[in-house]
Amino acid sequence: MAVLAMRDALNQALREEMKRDQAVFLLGEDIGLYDGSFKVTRGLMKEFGERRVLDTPIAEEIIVGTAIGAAMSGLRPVAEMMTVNFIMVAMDQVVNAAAHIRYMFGGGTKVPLVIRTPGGGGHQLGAQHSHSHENWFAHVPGLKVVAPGTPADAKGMLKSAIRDDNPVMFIENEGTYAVKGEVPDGEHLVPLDKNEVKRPGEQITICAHSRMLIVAMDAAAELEKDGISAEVVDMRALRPLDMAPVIASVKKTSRLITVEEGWRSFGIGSEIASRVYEEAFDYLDAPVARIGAAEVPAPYNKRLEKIAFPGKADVIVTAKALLGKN
Amino acid sequence: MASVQMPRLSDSMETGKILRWLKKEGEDVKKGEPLVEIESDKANIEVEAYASGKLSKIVVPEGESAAIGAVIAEIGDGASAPSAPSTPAEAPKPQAAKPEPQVAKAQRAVAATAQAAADSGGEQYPHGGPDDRTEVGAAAQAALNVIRRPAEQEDGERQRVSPVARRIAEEQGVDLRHVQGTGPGGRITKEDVEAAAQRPAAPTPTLPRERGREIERQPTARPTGEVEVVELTKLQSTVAMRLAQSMFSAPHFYVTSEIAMDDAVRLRQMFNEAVDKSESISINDLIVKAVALALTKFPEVNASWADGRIERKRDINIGIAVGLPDRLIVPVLRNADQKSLKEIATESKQLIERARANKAAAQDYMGNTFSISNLGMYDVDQFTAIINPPDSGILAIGSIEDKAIVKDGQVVPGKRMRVTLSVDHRVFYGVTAAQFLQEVKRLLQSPMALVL
Repeated sequence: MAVLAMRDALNQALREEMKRDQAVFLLGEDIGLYDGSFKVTRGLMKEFGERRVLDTPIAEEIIVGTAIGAAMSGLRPVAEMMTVNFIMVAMDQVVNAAAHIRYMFGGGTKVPLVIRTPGGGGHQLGAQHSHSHENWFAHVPGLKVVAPGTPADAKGMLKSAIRDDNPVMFIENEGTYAVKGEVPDGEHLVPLDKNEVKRPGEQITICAHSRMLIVAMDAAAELEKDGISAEVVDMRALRPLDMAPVIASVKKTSRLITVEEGWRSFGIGSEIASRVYEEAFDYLDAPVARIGAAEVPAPYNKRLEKIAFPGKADVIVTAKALLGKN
Repeated sequence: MASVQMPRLSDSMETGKILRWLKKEGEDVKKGEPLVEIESDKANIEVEAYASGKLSKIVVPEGESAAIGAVIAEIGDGASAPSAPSTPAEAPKPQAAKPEPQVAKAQRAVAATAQAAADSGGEQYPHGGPDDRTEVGAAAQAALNVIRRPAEQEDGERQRVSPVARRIAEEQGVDLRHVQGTGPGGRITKEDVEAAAQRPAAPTPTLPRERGREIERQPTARPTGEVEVVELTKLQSTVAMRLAQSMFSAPHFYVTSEIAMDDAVRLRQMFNEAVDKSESISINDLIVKAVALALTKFPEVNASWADGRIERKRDINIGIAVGLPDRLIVPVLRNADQKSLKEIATESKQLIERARANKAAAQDYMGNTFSISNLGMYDVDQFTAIINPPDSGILAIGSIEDKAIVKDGQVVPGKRMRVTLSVDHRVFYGVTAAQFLQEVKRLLQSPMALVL
């Protein structure tokens, strides 16, 4: 098992799947000659050639449309959107085409497509480059949506996503590409529909995905120093949303915090909270606390930006408030 | 240096008035210590310090108001000398109170974090990774507002109980009325109930846990040594608890009266001869109607003891105690005063049937304001009943007996029935009880009033 940065774990998954299956190809902006804006596709054009790693124009709708057509024709495209903020112009392709085609053709055709795209803010890229939109996609039947928070899950879920016969929105995060972790060599598959407890605890449950998983893990470690035992559930599988570990955890702890990098309103935490109210109402000892970005377009100002996005301190103070300790 | 801001203490609050500073300028303040008493549009609330340090400056003096979010004091690290007390003129004007836009809120938070650690982004998180910010950002504020929201006055009598606390209380037979909530806004939490269940001297008996649904229908008996232990069903546990509660908390007294039932018996006969058998009425239906009519004249009897106050009920809903082999239930006949005898008869038949068949809806058992327990069919002279909460009275009905009556110096046969009223002495007193009984008696002795 090697210790890899998230971007290298993703690169490994792409390389392995491209070797394994001739039908897999990549397309996106600057992913070939430039190795990708975040260097996830580093070296792949050199290794697999220009026919399997396509540099495209800056035209997201065309990228996704091309990928859908290719997928319907039997290929397994992996499209990269430079950030999730740029996918807006391609929403018609994602929702009206990719998500619905298999249903509208009565199962007669399928769309084995992966769209990789990072969300997340925190490095002064302003309101048009800093948001997280996984909830938009998780709303749509026909899509699968995953958002891993560790390099091992990133590799294992990307490989599973490429092999899946449905369109998968594979949500990455700009703030985690350099995060390192142990990654199993070779064949390592992580299912797209299973969430899991990443840190066991007793008194409070913290749900988080993607970069916020790291924030939650850090917060849980700090809380432990204050004698508070927090359980962290990784919500890497957003659609279908695997609630089983959350429900089991809430039945034990009776208190839940959801953390997401996107806005709270109509967010991932809202959905998780509703499911908990439906399935574990009688186990709650306090209202579910949702932590998310401030309800403003992401500020450019460095200090404003810092407090607009959730951080460890927010999780810690919320956990203590839920436990009546501050 | 941390600013203390006027907190939002209720959803409708716009400004708050400083009633009392609990610390003086220059005094040390610990995080969590009561700092200031504030009057909102709903209540007076003690607000705790959110930071430790020296109360370096009181910006808004006692008696003055400030808008939500306005700085009302400064807590310093103690290094700088306290500045001179501010003048009232500096206090923010109440008319400035408007919901503050998020951006402004964020800007304030920036000011508060000015001293926070330098930007993070060590090796591991080159792009906006987890920070080392120690102050709370805008992200947690909305969640904290929910968690810390104080109880609103509308909640008034309504006790705040978390769902899990309510469930555990039910399972363990803990009476929540005797539990002090320690959660936000006085909410009773899981821990509060667990602590109450542990307390041996709890004011109510602790009942056995529910042992699964099947026992609800079939009580199990297992031999244990010399005695046979009968486990209670959940319903039996509840009945036991409620009756004990009633008997031990409501001071009961009893008033007995003998009622001449000759005319009522005759009226019933005539009535039943006139209608189909399915529409026949019972003596109990006559009693229900008489009691309901009497209650319209005695609102003080149709009332409940409610924690040091009396609640008079506008509806007259009569609970009718029904004894079944394994349980005691009291289905409720609603608005009995407004129903005809026929309606009372039909409805109480249905209620009792549903109860016997175990098919009653929760609604069937709710809302009673006065109850009747009738053992007349079991040849009893008289008995006393335990008040069925939240009522403050219950009428216990004995059998109708043929008796030798002295009337105008002559011994004549008569039908007599003894009824005993149990009264919660906190709610009404002996004279009222006697007058109420007289009215019931009058109605049953002149029963045409019941048919009208």
